[in-house]
Amino acid sequence: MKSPQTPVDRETPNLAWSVMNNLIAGILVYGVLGYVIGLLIGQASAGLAVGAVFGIVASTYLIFFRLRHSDGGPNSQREA
Amino acid sequence: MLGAVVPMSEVEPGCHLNSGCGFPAPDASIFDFEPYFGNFTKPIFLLLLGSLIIIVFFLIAFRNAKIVPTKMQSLGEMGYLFVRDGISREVIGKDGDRFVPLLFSLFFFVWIGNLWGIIPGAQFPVNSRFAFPVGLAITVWLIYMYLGMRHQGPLKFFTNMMFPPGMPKAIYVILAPIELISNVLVRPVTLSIRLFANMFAGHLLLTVFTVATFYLASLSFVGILGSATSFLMTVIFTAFEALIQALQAYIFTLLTAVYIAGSLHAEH
Repeated sequence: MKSPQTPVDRETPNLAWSVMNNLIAGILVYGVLGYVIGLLIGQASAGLAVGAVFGIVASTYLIFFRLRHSDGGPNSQREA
Repeated sequence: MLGAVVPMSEVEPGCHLNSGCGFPAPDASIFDFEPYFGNFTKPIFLLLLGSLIIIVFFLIAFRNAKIVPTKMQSLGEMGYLFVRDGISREVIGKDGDRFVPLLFSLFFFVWIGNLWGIIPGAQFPVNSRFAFPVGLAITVWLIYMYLGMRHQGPLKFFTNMMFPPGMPKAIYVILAPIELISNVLVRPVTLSIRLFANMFAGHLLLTVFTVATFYLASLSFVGILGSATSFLMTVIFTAFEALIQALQAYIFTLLTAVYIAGSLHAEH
């Protein structure tokens, strides 16, 4: 019998599954945005590249941020 | 003499190393079937047969259930408890028990659909036809979107999704679109592609080595060595596929549970 888990305990493994989705979404959103801006200034390919890289950076930050906060911060680690 | 690689759909039956024809490389045509009648094809037949097998199995297993279970009943209970304790309670928690029937059905439906890939005579994983995973993913999408709007409110659901608490205000502008697209658009896409691609690739691999076993079988050094190796690879990959099939069914169900859990409780 396992001890009952609080919702907070379950969040970290659940979040791990959204990493892939966040990365894809980041590239998608800012890739498209960069492409559209690039079209306007006549540099569509460059816009797409810059946008996609920016998207990866942004989504990595998002993943890092959420994982760091999901277990209550680095100072609140539970005993195993 | 080794010939060129020729698509499987363009090769005469009985093509062999010594008959001077090229290796019949399996292509997309191995996923197409002549319908038995109307639009009723082999994948649909396997899907219906699989569903029937699951229903009959669990009906027999749980028919006059006893405190001291019979063999069938213990097997059925093992499957049920695996989904309830291993997936539902682990991911959603106690209040996830009302979703166990859904997760249970999903798990066994996906699993038997995959399992047909290594069952002799059938040998076609139903979920390697893209429409089936897409149908399942759309169902899952509808369920978790509905649950989210119902439990958190139609507007709150999206704002909770887009603005996880505790971030600097300026960052929200950049990250909110990512969260929205990730949860609403990318989730069902990755869910269906993950299942489809695994089954598609697995079936293709098995076909390549099975075809190679027959194509190379002959009394020559290349023939014996190649054929034996291909046969060994077929056996190894069949075992490997058995693992992947169960694993993909598990992941599909687990992710459904994760999405439902995310819809029930907003992030803190």
